[in-house]
Amino acid sequence: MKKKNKKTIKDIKRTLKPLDDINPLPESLNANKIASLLEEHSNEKSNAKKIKRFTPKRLVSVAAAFAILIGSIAGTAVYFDRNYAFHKDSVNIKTNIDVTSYKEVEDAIWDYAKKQTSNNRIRLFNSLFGSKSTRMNDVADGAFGSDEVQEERAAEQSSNDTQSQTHGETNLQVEGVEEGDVIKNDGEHLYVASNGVVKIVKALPADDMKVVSKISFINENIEIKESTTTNSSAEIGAEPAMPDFDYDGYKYYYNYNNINDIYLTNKLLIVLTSNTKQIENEENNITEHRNVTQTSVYDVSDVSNPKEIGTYSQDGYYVSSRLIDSRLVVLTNYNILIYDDEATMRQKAVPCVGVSEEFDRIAYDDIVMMETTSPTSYLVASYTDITQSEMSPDYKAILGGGTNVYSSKDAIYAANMEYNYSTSVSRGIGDEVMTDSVSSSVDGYTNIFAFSLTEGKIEYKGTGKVPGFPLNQFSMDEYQGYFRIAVTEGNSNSVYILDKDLNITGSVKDMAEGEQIKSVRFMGNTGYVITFEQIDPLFVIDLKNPNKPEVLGELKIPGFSQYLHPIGNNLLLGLGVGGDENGVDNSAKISLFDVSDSKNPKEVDTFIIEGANANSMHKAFLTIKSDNSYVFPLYKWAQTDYSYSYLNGFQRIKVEDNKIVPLNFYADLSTPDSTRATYINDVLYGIDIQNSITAFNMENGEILGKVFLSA
Amino acid sequence: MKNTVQQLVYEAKKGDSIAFSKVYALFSNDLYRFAYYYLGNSYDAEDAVQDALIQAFIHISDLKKAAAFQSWMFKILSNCCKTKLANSSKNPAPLCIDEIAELVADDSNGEDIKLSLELKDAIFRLSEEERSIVLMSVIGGYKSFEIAKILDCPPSTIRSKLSRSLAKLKAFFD
Repeated sequence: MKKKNKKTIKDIKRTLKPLDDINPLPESLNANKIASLLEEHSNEKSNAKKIKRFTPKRLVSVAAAFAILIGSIAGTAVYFDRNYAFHKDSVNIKTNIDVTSYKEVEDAIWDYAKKQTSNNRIRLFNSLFGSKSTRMNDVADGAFGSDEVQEERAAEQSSNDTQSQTHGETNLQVEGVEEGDVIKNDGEHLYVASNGVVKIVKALPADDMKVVSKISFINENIEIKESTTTNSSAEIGAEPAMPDFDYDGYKYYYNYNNINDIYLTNKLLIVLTSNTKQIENEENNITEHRNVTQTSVYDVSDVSNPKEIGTYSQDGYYVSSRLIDSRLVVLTNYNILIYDDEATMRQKAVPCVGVSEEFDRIAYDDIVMMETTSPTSYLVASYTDITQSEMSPDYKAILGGGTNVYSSKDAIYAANMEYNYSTSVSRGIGDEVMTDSVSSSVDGYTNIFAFSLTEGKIEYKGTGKVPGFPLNQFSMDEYQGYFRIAVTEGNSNSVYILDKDLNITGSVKDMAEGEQIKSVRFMGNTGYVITFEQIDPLFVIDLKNPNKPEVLGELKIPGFSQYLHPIGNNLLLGLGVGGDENGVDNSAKISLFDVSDSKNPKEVDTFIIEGANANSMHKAFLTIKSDNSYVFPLYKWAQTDYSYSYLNGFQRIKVEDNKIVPLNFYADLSTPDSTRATYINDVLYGIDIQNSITAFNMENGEILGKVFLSA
Repeated sequence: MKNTVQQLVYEAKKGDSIAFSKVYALFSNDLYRFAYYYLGNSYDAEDAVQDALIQAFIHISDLKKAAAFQSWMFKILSNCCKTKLANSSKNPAPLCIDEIAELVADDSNGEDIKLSLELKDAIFRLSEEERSIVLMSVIGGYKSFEIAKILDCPPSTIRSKLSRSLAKLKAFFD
């Protein structure tokens, strides 16, 4: 290469370095996130800026790609009958049989594996698709017969409101069923899960915020380790790690311990991490990687010195969790990779669980086998009272249980989507491989598996089934003993009501043909469903009679809401996308619906922000209790000469007299992202989870202080 | 047993997503930076890298030599970036960090970052092909003949295009 080229390249590298330094690899691209993405790439809970919705169409293209892959392994052009691949091939296991030995489970899986390996190596297909075919929809709700408790909690909550000290809390679907998040706030300190480390930040005074301690879950490499020793803050959990391997003269260390969610309750901090256990098998020369989810509980009564109380682990990648009083439910999905070799296959047939260093097979009588599902994955559930000094989780695993989850105070539901493909696909191999355009429609159904949660015990209760697929956790709900679920079913949408035994008692069908559900909210006896194709109908559904639910009212407006937040009993605030009769545009739209007259819902006010995108993740939506205002992350776009740039920050609004009143827009322009907002008294904290926390004066938006999380 | 790249690629070919992600981790930064400077913003870059990884994982059986994993990955990524850019013209995604420049003036690095951003824009003004070649050279550290292999072009073409692109950028430093 010419000398002057070399110099220019060097100059470019040097000049870009300062930008590279403040623009690290996004968390979503960390190796372990990628591993999860590959296993289940529709699980995108942290990527709310660009909302990627799971749609059956998208699934089809993934399916087609996998179908092609099989063809290319076999080395022939493919004619692939989807029905055959997905269902006819599965082993017929008796319904919910009581498992009496490990052998029983192993036999079922080995039978299945043999079929797969002898059958054009569908092994890979199943192990991959098995995880992709299901999308997590977790739901929390008040439980069967727990309405009283909910009222109590509501009363408790409102009494807290009257105290002079207020602080932000995670926006929950249902009062009393706590959801994990990447930040928690105790009124004095902020707990932030940032790049594999929980940082406890002294939030007051706002102009002197400090990281008081850190709990690291990173397999830190030595350089990072050294640079942090100069920091006087307490740090536990980080041990110097051996390099994972040498390559080209470099030593590599992996950061596989990723924090999924944290909880804070009664001075206890709970951290849920995804870890990788690497097991080397000398015998058959296989390095095995196990995706293990670990729950760690810390006593944070002294925030500068968190003390580990206990840990427990379970096989599988993290699906979801809920905290009900002091009892934590953690759900993971354990995928079974299919091996040709019987010994390995049998060894992998049962997921492992354990407290502290123990890690062994789950007890066979805690395994539930399901009928007609392909045994390619387990749903693994643990249920633990985290206030006990000795962790003693109760475990259950459903074979073929899939990954979708619903939790309530004393019941938990796992929903698994099963897809049927009505058409076959014929594909050649070659350059066309990725440009598939399958137009066949996908239909199928959702299995709902129920567990009861009683004192220290989690028990399998039964299974229900509805056609179609739910959108997200808000698609499911439970009220006065009835379970409700809103689904997109083929080209139409429905709401089903199921009784305690998960039998369908009634349904509303054929809502908005050709459209898809965009958001759902259930409030007591009423359900609100928003669908979208070009014009956005809001449906109001009366669910009072479980045998005969009906659509009461319908409202057509441009754009659509992606999150619905109830305000009192008569108003709904919708966060979403604006548009006109031709479809959506680039604006963010906040709608206020008056639903006091169920037969005639009205959009009473809108707040449209041109060239903007409102984050519609429910956990990013903050209610400020002291004055009933709301804050959500907002991204505004601006075009410059040759590129686009944007402004990120937090928009605060208030609802008064059926009007949306825009208040401040809080922006710290030196912050690349706005992930979450929270507050303590009159200070609003804007959090960029990877970078920093900025404190704003709530009233005038002035920046009061800033603390970096990267140090 | 030695845990080598070859071994990991072998495991990845068997469908082990963690082994795949371990190989990816070796140059995850380079992939992200390539996409970032190619597309001009971190949002699209995140998407493009994710798309590329999914495609690569699906098609890893097509990869003959484990040692070629990295350049194969760059090839897939540059295709994903191309597609992304074609699709994003209608719906511009926000640019990350670009507003920062003037605002980090109080930061000791403020001036440097401003310069970085100006160079980033200069790179963005190159044609897509030029950008791709420059970034493979600067970020991937590839030589002309290697880039030629990745982009399926004659090495002579790459050499002349690289020189021309770098000459354009050199003006930036003068």
